[in-house]
Amino acid sequence: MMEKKPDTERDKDLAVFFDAAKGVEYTPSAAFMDVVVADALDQTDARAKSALGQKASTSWRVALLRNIGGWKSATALAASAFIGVTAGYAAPDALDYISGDQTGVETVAEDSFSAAFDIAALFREG
Amino acid sequence: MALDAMNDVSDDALMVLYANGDAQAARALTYRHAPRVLALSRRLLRDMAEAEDVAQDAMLRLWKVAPEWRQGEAKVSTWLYRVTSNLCIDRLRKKRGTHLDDIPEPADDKPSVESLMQSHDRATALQAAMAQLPARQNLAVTLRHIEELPNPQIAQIMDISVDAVESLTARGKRTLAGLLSGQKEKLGLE
Repeated sequence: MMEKKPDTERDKDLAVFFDAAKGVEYTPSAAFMDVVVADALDQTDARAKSALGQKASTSWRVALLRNIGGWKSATALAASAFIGVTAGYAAPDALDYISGDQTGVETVAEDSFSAAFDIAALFREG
Repeated sequence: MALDAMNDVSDDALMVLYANGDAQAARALTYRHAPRVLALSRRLLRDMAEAEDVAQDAMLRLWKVAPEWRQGEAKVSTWLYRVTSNLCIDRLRKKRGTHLDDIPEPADDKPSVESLMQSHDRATALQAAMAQLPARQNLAVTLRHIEELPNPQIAQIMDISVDAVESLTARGKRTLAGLLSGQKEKLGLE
């Protein structure tokens, strides 16, 4: 059976080994340091390119919006287009009224006036 | 700004400068941290090529995280130690079982080389013994007794309590003492 040593004595024994290990230096080569710095600069370039790409893709949208007069104009334009399309599809009869082909109302109105004229004539004639 | 002029600039400030595209800040961070990251990787992995891979990977992760770095939340050194430790532990766990038998014996079992310094022999013997520890015990002992970090920082790096750090280092040292006890005479310690 292995003899058990008190912690302090064991630590003293091990300290010699730890001191020896601490004395061993692992100096990085210049090539290694260059590779690490190159990685850093590559990352910077990649981020810059990515940021430029994002800026370019945003700018054409912003330019388009500016050309049509901003958000308010864009909203008004969209609303007008929607109303126009809806009117075209949803109420084709209204188009007859606008073009003057809707004669039913005019007929009723003409008949009403005719009837009124006739009654007045009857009263005059007795 | 010249590299020397950045000696007094804090890590957090350098991270902001680097995130804004400052190449000198990248160099300053590299010269400040890469050697320590490499040393820790080398101590844990015992292979310089592998250690360089891990150190490069850890530093690359630092460059990537720079734009989102939250100042004052974590120390750059602690963050790097943590990333490096995790990368090394992953590699050690993959190697365990398959390469355990490939771990070189301490230098003293080889023919003695007169020019080899005794302290180098001890360091080699310690490394060989530490390679036999479970990965997290190895990490805790390395951070505490070779990198000489305080227990609270080790707890942050390993994401465990200070008590757990103390327990890991104590168990690790107990095992190391057993592994090294038979070599004390050869290493000029008795």
